[in-house]
Amino acid sequence: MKTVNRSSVAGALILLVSCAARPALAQENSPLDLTGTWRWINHEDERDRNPGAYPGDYRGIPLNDAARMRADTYDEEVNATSLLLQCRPRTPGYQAKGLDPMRIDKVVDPVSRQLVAYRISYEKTPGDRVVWVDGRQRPSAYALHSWDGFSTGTFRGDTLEITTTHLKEGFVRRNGVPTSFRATVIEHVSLQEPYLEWTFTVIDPDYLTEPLVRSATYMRAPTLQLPAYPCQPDDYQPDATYRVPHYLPGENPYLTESAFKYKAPLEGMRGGAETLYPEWRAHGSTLAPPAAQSTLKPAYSDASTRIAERADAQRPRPPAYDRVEALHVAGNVYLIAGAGANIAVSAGGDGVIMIDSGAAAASDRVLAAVRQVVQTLRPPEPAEATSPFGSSWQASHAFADPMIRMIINTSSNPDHVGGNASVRMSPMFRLLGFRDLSLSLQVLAHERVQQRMLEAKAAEMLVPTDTYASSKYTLYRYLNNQAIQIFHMPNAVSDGDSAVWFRRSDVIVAGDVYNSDMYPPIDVDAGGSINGEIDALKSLLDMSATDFMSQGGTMIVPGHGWISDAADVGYYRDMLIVIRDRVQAMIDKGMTLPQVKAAKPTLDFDPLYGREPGVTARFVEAVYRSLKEKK
Amino acid sequence: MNTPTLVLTVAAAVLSSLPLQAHHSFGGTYNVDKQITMKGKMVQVTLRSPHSFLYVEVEDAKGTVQRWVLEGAGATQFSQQFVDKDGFKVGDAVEVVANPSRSPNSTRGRLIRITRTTDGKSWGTKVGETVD
Repeated sequence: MKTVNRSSVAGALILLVSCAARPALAQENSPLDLTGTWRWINHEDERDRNPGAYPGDYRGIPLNDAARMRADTYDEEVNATSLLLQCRPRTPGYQAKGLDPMRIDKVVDPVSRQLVAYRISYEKTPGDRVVWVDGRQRPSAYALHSWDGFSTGTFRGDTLEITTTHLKEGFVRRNGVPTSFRATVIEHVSLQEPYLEWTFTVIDPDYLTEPLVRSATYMRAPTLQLPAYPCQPDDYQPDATYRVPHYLPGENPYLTESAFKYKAPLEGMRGGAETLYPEWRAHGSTLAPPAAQSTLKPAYSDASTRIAERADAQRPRPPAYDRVEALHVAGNVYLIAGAGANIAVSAGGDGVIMIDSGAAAASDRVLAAVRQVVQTLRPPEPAEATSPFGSSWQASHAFADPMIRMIINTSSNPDHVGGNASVRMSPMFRLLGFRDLSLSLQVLAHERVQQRMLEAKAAEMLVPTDTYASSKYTLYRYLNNQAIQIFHMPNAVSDGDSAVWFRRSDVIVAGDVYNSDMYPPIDVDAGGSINGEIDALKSLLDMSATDFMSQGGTMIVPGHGWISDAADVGYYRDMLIVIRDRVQAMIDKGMTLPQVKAAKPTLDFDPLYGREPGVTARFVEAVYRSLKEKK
Repeated sequence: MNTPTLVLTVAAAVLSSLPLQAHHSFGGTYNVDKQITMKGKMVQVTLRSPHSFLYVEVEDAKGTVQRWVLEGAGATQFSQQFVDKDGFKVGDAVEVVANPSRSPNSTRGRLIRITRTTDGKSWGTKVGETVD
């Protein structure tokens, strides 16, 4: 028998005690009790909270020139004129500065009793934010963005680390310093009873040059009740033409106000990463504050101002369609993405209705995606009666081949119509059962799309077979149990754009009138115009409703990009109005197109919408021409 | 507890019970260093969160009627301070003091004080009656 020495015994005892002290498995992924109600402690940034950030105060923010220009031209009045912004919740990139009390609850799997998620309710954001801690994957790049984003959490020791993506555009200060829809927010939550320390870091490739790290403190408040928050947007000038309050570059009279009022150097007030470091302090102390308020004429010149040039300088790459994927949108409507322009399909008992067919080279993958959508549809609920089938499972899980009943084209752009021929020649293309197939709707578009393609001598199988010419066209019958209505969007991207509305699913397929991350490809020679484009977006918004707090509800499938809602379209409309106003002001000054392009009127939006080669230059030219030629 | 301490304690308690949060920045939206005064007729009262809106029609020197929008406190704070559906009503003749909007030509303001001229009922004169 071996001799057991004292240190071995002591070690074994320590191990035993530590094991006994370890929580059982069910608690291992929740070492902190974050649940309960918490009150925000307003001991930081009081001036930022009340009366609120002044224009031009960017202290402590490592923003780039694109963000600076957006903030310099921002008018907080826009929060009143836009019904979509009045009740806009904050993103996690600002929420912890938002003073809201909050309640945190656990979501526990009822069987395993494992922690699945935390639900966080903020006073002014009544829809719960969910932080998944069960290791689930992030959604597709084509998934809907939200104010809360998609959050996953991991415990690192005693700290909960939350990573959030899929955010809508937000702000990091309430004076127009933006955060991009590409931003990621990393939060670290640690508990020091009764305090909850909440550190949040914004990583924004579009508007920040370095991570922005801030923190807030909450205090446990067990008796706190979150009141109801019925934030109802109200149109305070119901008869007025919709406008977006903003300042033209170089015309905001308030940008020096903070520096003057607080006797601080203007250079520091303008923010930027270099002003955040101790080394800058010595330099800053040598700078004098402005002697009086004046209208600043800023120059913007850092790397963020050259996004469009860098995109144009990229070597052209042939498009790759190796990542075609299908996502559920709403009801029986699905998105097939990655095949050129977005494709929407309604799939159900009546077959498949395709909106656009993508690029020609992606057709095989598109048809495979259609098959995937149809054959993974949830089978219908069994009737509440004995099954008439010998094998009810087989009867209800045997899928017929997909039957594509028709294509509706939203435009004549090749990445929207390129797959028409392949789909029509596919055995899946089975029309709606007329004896004379020529009487069936096959490929439907506005008549201008057909005319333009015929004029361009497009291949016969690509050209729409059926057309409409009215402002609204309703399919003659419900298909897949819903009305399908097609709306002409005159003089938007072209003179033949259509939007398709699946009424019961509450999905609008917008075509290129709306792209979530790219300027619209307005073709002035084909009848497009910036004002027609803005009107088209207003029409989409008139047709849409949000579920709550300016998000969700009607889903809008963009021509390119991710599934969107009315808030995204509203941001896009507002961006276009701002750029239109800037270009119009330049035209009014007599500037030529080369001068307008050189002045970069889209500079501050290029990080969001100008990352594809040639897109920005074409867009600016289209805006200029359509205003100059009064289209 | 001596009197000054009591006053400070009560004041702190009153202030801490009020919502101190604007959903947007008042400093950014309004010129908080300026005040304007107007007389007119209440035409709409919208009590809601995060802020309420009082709509007042004001006739300018040229006889043109403008619809002013005065941003007030949230519905909860207002109701605690006797501004509810029975407080100010459509048709009331009122005098309003407000911070003007920074935006040129805007007819919006942040409510500082409102007084019904027929009976003197007012809001904005007591401790805590501020729009934050």
